[in-house]
Amino acid sequence: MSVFYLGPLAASFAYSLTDYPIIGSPRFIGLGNYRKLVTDAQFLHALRVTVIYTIFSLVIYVGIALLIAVLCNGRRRGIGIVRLIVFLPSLIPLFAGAVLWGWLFNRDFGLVNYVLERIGLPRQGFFQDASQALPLTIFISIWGIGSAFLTYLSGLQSIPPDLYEAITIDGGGAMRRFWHVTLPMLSPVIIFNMVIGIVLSFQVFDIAWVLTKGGPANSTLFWVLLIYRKAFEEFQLGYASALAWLLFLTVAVCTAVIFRVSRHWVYYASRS
Amino acid sequence: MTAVRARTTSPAMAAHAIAIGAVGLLMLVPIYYLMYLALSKPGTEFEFPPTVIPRPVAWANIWAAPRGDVTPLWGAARNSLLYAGLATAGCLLTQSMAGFAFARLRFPGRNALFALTVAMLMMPFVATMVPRFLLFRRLGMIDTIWPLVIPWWFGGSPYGIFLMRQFFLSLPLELDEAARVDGAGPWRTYWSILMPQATPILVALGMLEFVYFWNDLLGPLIYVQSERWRTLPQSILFNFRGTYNPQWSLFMMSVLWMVVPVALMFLVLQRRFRQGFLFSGLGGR
Repeated sequence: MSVFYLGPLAASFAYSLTDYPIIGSPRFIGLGNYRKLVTDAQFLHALRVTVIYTIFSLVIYVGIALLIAVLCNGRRRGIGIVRLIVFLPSLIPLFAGAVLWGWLFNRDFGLVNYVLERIGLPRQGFFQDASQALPLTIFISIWGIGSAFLTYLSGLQSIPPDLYEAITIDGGGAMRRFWHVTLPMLSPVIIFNMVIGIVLSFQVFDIAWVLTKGGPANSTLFWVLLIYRKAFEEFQLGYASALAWLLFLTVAVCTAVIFRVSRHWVYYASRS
Repeated sequence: MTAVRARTTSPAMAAHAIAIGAVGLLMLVPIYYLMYLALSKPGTEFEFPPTVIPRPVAWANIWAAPRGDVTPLWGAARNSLLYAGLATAGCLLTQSMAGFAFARLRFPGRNALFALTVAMLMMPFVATMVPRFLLFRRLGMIDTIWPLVIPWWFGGSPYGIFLMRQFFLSLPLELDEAARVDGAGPWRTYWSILMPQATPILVALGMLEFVYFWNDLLGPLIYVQSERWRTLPQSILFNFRGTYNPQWSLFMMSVLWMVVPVALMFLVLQRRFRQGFLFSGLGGR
């Protein structure tokens, strides 16, 4: 299995040390590409956009998904339907979903603008507006929380009920149950979704590719979109490889930090 | 949880209901729009001003869409079911084994191997696409769905391994120790002691992976050309592109046909999220 992964990784590192226009052969330039990165205004912009997206979409994927899962955890009538509704957007394949989101928020004939107008609010530019495209891309990521939601839900179901009863007997309320039982018992799943969320949001591509192509005015120029542009539109394979490698390193460092810090807050029953 | 909830006061319950309602409304928007388009008369999808329910409701779309202009969807549904079912089965089996090994066994290089697994998460699929294609071409499996199934029986995905490891780490070690005292080896501990505990996580993971394979477009596009093995997403796109006059309503109806069976499956399976708390009596926590 590793051969399939490590081979391309090594190759892309080798390319990142070269100047490689797609026609012609790679020429070794050492760390030249990396030196160029540090002062490349376009890259610094893409970095900023990606970090903003990552922070906010992580709050949605890790935090809001957790709250929704807790809301949907009881055993009341119709809860199965509610769970299905939360999971439904994740069932729509991306090739159709991206089209749907795009039309919903279309400036001219989109349903959302129509509704806004009917209730007396001004029409919005949405994906065609440089100040709204990024916040909206973050907002619609809520329709992608299905995987975090399901993992949380199954984790919640594995918490022994007697732990909750102990807190209730001691006179604790809902907040204390959440803080002293739910959070620690669920921490192995929380750190899991943190890592997955970091990986997914740093690599956000498909949805932006379909909806905005990085625009308007580069307001949604994510890191991977920039790699794609450099490699397949400007044909700078060496520079694109350096961008890809730096992305890989960045995500790896973030993940390592999460794991390191996790020793202080993640509770594994098998290690107590 | 239920017993606890029943004792909460009614304002809290009202707030709870309102919160669930708001979340539900937000999550219903895409599926509402999908159904709206799917039931619009072809050619009237974007009539202005829009109505709450398409006028007229084109019930005929329901059967027109799966008949397809180029490929009927029934054969494709069989292929998709085969692909998603077999790939998910392979994933669940091998990921739970790997997750068990990472969480419960001690062996040299364990941490390094686990770090490598997590690192694989960060590799985009496209990077591994080409070598994989070359391998399966050499094996003569191009133009079947087997290249899409077989890799998942060799370790599954890093996502699943990581999730299973997290789950097994959260089970108390007393379970293994009790099993060892009774003379069970690692295989028996894995299969008879820990796996029965894992039903909720296996259901969640299985659902997620099934949906991923069911909706996967890129994989089949790489390996499958002929109609015999074409999957649902592929056939829907073929039908759509094959017509001179793209009909969005039929396209969306086909997508709806993809969503409904998985939604029903979810409704049935989500009951399995509950597990018997075999270990809830263990003390010391």
